[in-house]
This record gives sequence, C-alpha cells and structure tokens, in this order.
Amino acid sequence: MYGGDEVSAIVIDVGSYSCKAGYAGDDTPKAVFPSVVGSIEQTEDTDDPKPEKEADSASDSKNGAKPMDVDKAKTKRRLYVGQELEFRRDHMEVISSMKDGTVTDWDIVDNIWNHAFRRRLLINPEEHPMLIAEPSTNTAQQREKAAELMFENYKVPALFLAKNAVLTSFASGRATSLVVDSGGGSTVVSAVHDGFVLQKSVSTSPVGGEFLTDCMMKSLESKGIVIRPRYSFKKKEISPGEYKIVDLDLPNTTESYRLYCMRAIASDVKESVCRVPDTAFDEVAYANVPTTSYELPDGQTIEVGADRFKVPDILFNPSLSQTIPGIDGFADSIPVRGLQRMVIDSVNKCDVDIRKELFSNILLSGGSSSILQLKERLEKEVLEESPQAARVKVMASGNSVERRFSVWIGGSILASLGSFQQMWFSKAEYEEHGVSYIQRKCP
Amino acid sequence: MSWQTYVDEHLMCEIEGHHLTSAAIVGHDGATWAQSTAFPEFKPEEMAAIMKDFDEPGHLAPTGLILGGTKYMVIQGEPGAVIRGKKGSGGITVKKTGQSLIIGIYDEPMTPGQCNLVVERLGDYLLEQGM
Repeated sequence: MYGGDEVSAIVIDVGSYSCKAGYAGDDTPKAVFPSVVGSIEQTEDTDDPKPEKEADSASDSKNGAKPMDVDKAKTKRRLYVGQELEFRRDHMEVISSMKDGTVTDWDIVDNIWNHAFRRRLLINPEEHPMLIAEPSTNTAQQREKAAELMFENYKVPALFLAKNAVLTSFASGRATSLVVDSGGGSTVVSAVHDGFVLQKSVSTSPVGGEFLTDCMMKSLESKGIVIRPRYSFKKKEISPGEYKIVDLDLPNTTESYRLYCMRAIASDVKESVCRVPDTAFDEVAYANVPTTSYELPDGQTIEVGADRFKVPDILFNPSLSQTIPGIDGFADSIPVRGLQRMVIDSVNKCDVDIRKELFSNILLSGGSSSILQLKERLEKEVLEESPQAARVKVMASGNSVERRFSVWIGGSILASLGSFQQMWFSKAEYEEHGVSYIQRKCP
Repeated sequence: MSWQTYVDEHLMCEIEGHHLTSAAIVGHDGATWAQSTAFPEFKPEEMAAIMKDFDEPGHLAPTGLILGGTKYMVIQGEPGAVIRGKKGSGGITVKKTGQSLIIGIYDEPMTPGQCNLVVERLGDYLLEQGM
C-alpha cells in the first residue's frame, strides 16, 4: 500500500477543450490551458539548431528519447502547448489528441502532461501520486495506456484513475446522482450510484460548447459579419484618437489556426450574450427580439438578436443547427438527442429502484452548463417528460468556476481524503503485476 | 488443497488489515463448492442470472445483481470475465473461471479495489490451472 499521506497528490483532467491540473486539496486547479496544441512538421533542412528554450517539443520533453508510440514513419514535429499556442507561427496546425472523446494521439497527451507538470506546476512527477480524471466512456485499453505512460515516462510513485462523472458527484457531496456534463467537445450524461458510474446509463452527444461556438460563428458570418482573428490586423492611428484597421498579410497561417482564433472570438460572443430560452426556440416568435451589442477585437460593434436564444437552444433541439448556413450535418445516421432526452434515456437504463433518486439529484457540470437559464429549462423539460410521480431537481453550483471545474474539484477532494490513500495503484504493484492491474485497483 | 481451503485462506485472508465479509466458490451449474460461514443463501435462479450476464454482458444492469435477496447495482466490470456490483459502502465481485465462479462480498472499510484483488487473484490462479 502506498503511503500517500506524505505529499500532495496531483489531480489532472485533460478534457477535449482544456486541461486542468493542480494540487489535491486546493479549491481550484492551478493550471488551466488549452488541450489542443500547435504542431509544425519538421524537416531536416528546417531544424532549428537552437530550439526555443521554452518550447515543449516532443524530443525535449523526453531528453532526446523517442516518444513512445510515435510512428517511426511519421515526420518529426514540434508541438506547442499552452501559452505558446497563442502566438501565431507559419505553418502551425492546431491539433487535438482526441477524436470522438477517445485519445488517438498519446504523444500529444504526453506533451500536455509534461507541460502541466514541469512548466506550469513546476513539480517533479516522481514525487507525487497522480489522480487522472477519465471520461465515463473510457475503455480498458485507454486506461492501461494512460497508466503505462505515467509509470514509464513519469515514474510516478502511485496512480489512480477516476471517472469524470464520479468526481463531479463527489464534488457536490453526493454518492448518487445523474451527472449532466456539457463540456467543450461533447455532452455526457452518466448515472452515478454509490460512487460508481452505472455503465449502461452513459449517454453522449457531440453537441458541446465548441459546436455551439461554431454555430454562433457561422450564423454571424451568414449575416455578413467578418470576424478578424487578433493576429490578422493592426490598428493604425490616422489622426489623434482615431484608428484605422489594417489587415496584415500572413499567407503561411494555417486554416486550422485561423479557425482556432476565430472560434476564440465567437466563443466569447457566445458566453457574453447567450441565454437559454424558456421554451423551444421559434424563429418567428424571436425574429424581433431586442439585440445586444458586442464589440469585436477589431473595433466593429455587432448586434446579436435571435441568435442569443437560438444558439444555446441547440443543446435541447440539435436539429436547429441545420437551419444555420454552413453547419454540417452530424456524421452518423443516429439522430442526436437533446439534453432532456438524454437525461430521460439515461435514467430509464438504470434499475427502477434508483430512478427516483436520480431524477431528484441531477447535477450540471462543465463550462457549457453555465449558460444562463439552462438549469431552469432542463428542469422544466425533464419534469414534463418524466413519470408522473417523479420529483425532478436539477442542481448546479452557483459559482461558474466550480461548475466548470467540478471534475477537477471532485478529484481534489477525493485524493486528499485519508480513506482514499489505500486506493492508490502503487509503482510497486505496477512493477510486480503489470499494467492490467489498473482494472482491479481502480474499478 | 480443498475448495474450502481456497475460501478460508485465499478469499477470507487479510489484505492490508481488511477482509471480505463473505466469499464462495460456486460451479457454473450453481452448486456450491465451498463458502464462508456468513455467505448468503442464494436461489438457483439468482446464480443462473449471474451466469447469463457472463454470456450476455449487460443483462443484469437494468435489474441489478441479486444474491441472497440483496440487490447490487451493476458497475463497470470486464465483459465475460468479471461482474462488479455496489450496494451502499460495500459491494460484490464475481469472477468467472473455467468451471467456477469466485464470489467475494465486502463492506467498509474494505475497498472495492481490495475485493477485486483478492477475488481476481484467486480466479487468475484457477484459470492458469485450467480450473
């Protein structure tokens, strides 16, 4: 048994949109940064003989050793993590480690972890047990891969994997709840019972914050609004106090980076003006709602009207997105369900004995759950569709930071509990029994 | 070594100061090969339902795993190999081997992971021995 009481554990949650990392016992994560990274393919001719000291390049993070699992045929690439992503570079693509919620590029995850530990938290991972938050849908192979990387690359003394929904439930002090986690890349609904996810109940949808941001962006563009990424212009003073926007010519900027920067702006518009309508959005009824002004980085002031209500309503009525020019249909043939349907379906997959408790303990988490009036709307929708006798209660932290970071906060609480210390999967156990032991130690 | 010795010395043994509440080794046909004193008396259909869940993973999830009249909520196991259930601060782990089911029931302060280790370790051994 690992004696975890001696030093603070590290809690790390790499989501599809952002990475949260910090010390167990803290109220909030110390490091929060994008979980997408910049990537520039390197050829021998262009290798920089003096790589930037702060770059978290793949080779740098492993002291020259070849990263595990990197395809040897793949050209070498330099990855830019965290703050470095905010600086435009020629030919820099923006890439994600995940596809459909599953890690497909462990090298990126490795670099994100390295950045979190060594650049942001300034710790030596060999000295701290690690609690990793994982998606409710994580597979056995994904878990073993994560564990192997932690023990082999970071030499951590101990490890635990805990599911996102369990940690959110824990953060609210509940052993049983229905967790509705609407994050950046997706929305996941999971039933948690006595501290464990009921696997059959897990329900996912590709509609998350990023999808809503794309809808907002396309809708604004369809009205003729030009969103200028911050890197693409400068302000020139043409007379005292009066400025003119000058577009910069940067032909080597990648499309993915341009989109990333435009999304950042559209996301801020969304967060500033959006509000979930009381009932299903209706184009006619909302055609003449008063507008809200928003000033874009280039000084343009735009007026947002019906979109304020239409965009967030897509969480409840995903087919609304099809009415926005330029938004692609959902890839698979399975119709995407709205939040209320996901909740009902999730509860109905659980044992009848606990459904009542789940309906009365619906927890919201994730950044997208902070949209104004979402809680009230979800409660109303679920109440209308739930069994007659059910008492429906949707809860969310009043504090948007706690809502956004509820997974991390739950991990922080869990990993600092005295009773948790016997749960760690120790390095000694890993070395004796191998990585598959993780399935038993962290059920 | 007799089946009862496996139960007494390998399933009911102490692990980090804790031990299972009860344990048993049951054949695939539902016959009890050995059990600890406190192991609940179960109905044949309860054991049949457990066997069915190994053949059809997910079968028990909507109804719960019932053993000796106690209902456990099914949590993530390993399809075809391990079923895990939870009830309050305790729970159950069932591992399937070639000819038997290894069953461990625990309660606080024993942890789910510790129960898994005890049950699955014996299960692995029996699988290696072709039993």
